[in-house]
Amino acid sequence: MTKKIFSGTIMVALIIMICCVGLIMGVMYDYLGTQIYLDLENQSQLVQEGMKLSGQEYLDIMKNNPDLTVRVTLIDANGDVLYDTHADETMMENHVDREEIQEAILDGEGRAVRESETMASETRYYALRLDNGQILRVSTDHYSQLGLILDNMGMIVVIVAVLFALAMAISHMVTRHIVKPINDIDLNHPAVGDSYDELEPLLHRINQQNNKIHRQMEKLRRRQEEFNIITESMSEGLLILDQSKEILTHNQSALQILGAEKKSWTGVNALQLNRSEPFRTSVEQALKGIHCRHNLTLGGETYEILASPVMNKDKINGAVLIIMNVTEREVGERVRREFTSNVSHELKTPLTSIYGVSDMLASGIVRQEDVSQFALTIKEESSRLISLIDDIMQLSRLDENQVTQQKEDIDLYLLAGDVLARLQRKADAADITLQLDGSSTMVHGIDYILDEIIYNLCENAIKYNRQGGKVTVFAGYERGTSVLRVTDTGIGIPKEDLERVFERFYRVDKSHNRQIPGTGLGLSIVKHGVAYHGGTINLESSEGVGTTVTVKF
Amino acid sequence: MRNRFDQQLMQLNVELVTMGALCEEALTYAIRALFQKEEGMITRTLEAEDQINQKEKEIEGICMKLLLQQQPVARDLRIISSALKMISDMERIGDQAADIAEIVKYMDRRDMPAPEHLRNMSDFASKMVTDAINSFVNKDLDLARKVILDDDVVDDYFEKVKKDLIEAISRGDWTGEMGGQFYLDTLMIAKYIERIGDHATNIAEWVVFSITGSHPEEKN
Repeated sequence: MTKKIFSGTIMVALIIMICCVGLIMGVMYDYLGTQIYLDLENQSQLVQEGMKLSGQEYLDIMKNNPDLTVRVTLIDANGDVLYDTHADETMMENHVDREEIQEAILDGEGRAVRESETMASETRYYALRLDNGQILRVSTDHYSQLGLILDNMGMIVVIVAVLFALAMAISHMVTRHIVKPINDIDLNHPAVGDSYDELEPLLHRINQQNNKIHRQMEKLRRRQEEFNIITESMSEGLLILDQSKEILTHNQSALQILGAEKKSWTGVNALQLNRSEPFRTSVEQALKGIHCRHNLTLGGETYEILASPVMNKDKINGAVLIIMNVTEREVGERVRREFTSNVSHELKTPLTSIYGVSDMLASGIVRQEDVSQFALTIKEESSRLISLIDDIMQLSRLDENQVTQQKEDIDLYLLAGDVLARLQRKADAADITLQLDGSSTMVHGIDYILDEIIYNLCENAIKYNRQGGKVTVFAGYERGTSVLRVTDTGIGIPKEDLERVFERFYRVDKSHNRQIPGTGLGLSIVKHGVAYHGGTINLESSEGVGTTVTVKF
Repeated sequence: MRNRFDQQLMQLNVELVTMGALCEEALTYAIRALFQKEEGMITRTLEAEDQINQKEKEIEGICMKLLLQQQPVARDLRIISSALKMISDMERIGDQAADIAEIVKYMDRRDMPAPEHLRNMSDFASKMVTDAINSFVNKDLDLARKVILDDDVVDDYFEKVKKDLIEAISRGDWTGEMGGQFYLDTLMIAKYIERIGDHATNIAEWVVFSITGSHPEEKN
């Protein structure tokens, strides 16, 4: 714009300059012509007077006088040249048809301009009819228009150059001045009224659009923020990819799960984030338009990748990957599978021996005196079955929270003493000393569940003890809470099993002909019972030294 | 034009990462076939090796196209030339994993004498491969240099495995043709794993070269 205004102004200046020169030249030329004619008239008057006074002598003096600036010619009425200052009159042709002569013959005086032989020069003639009918003609050479220009060219060029430079400087200033307000417009906040009137509609429009853009940006920003808040608070990893597998969006959980550095991965190829087979397959399948789920194991945890294609009008635009931790689900499923297989096994073992024994009894191959022995086996196995089923029922009741009995205040210390008294016979048989410490402490709970907890813990302490060992039970207050602690001097629990002993049917001794009888449900019942009373259970054990179970209500 | 070039370089990068991932898989499968005797692992190793060979050809094609069409210079040229070298190392890793799987196929199911060293060795080599690829993915110079140094550890493990085998032979744990076969197989596997460590080191060296433009200083 600056350029255009500048060149425009310069152009105008140039045209005006050229016109001025031309016009001035024209006017000057005209003025010059008039002056020359006046001059010639005066000269002719002088010559006429001279001729009247001195006659032929005057003419002779003038002949070939180099100081003479005008040419004087005397012509008779027929046009024959009688005298000429610059040439031999006898050699000159008849002048009767010359324009100025004709005019002089008719009107008494005549004027004419003719190109002369030399370039850029012309001759002006003035003819005067004398009283005797002869015609006196005075002429002079002078510059033509072109000659005038050529003669003054140097001066014209200098003047035009100076003027041009001046015009440039002024144009530059003017242009700057014009453009400045436009440049000064703050396009972010165009204030209507500060600039040219002609720009007001434009500025107004810009203002409107600015506001619109601002509103839309704000809306987008809010939406982005909402999206971010939603995705960031997800514990599942979220990845959105475009069709070239480049990451468009990811949340922090995704980075955490994939063990990636916490920075922006946008625009990075997803394979750089993780290149394991399930991840690759998920991405590839999703980008082929297939919904799929794959399991991914990372750092001991199991994750499930849910990959879905993003379709737009039958065209795949990208993929959305959701990665969630399914470790617990997997573990749960494993525990359930093991539980089922354990239950069937535990139920089948006593039934098999009952079946075998009764089969023998039925076929009559058992001697009469052995019958009672066999019946005892059946009884023992049946009682094992019953206690097993009792345990399972107890557990499922606790599972379902189906305890109908009302809670009441129970003295844990008294209850523990009661349990120990019942176990005394078992302890004696295993040569184990029982000891009860503490004082009376009240727990709000259900008596038979608490009884079960203490009984199971103490029974385990006796069962998994060594010859001549000791079981210490503490029931009392510790830091304001009721605590039950059972300590034994037994075989202990290996570290890797500590986590799992509360699982149903889990037994440290996994061989099928176990030395120590039990269902594997005891600690499970304890755990659920404690949970039912809102307590916590803590297990400390070192192999070969003993185990301490602490229950806090 | 530039844009297209950058895109092709990016694609090269992605293909290299994929090929690296395939190498890791092949090695993991081979090791699982060796120690856990998991079903189907041998086939999966061989499948992965197939895919690795295919990827090598693909990447070679990309590199050649880039070299001919774009005539890269300086850093770009370095990236492409090291990619060409890297894929041959990766391909070798795939081959060696397949070789291990082949041996496992014909090994009887008896346990090796003192397998801890061989197990540690293979775990370590597989970590080296992962690290080498990670250093490439993240352009991590420090990690690449660490992988280069790690080569000595694998070599040490190889010596230990050899010693274990010699001890087992002198104790006469197994005798006869089957026994000899078994010792040799174990030694071969150890050697293959040691070679995999070397290739991982090479990859790391190419990573260093492609980033810095100079080969890592020779270690003594």
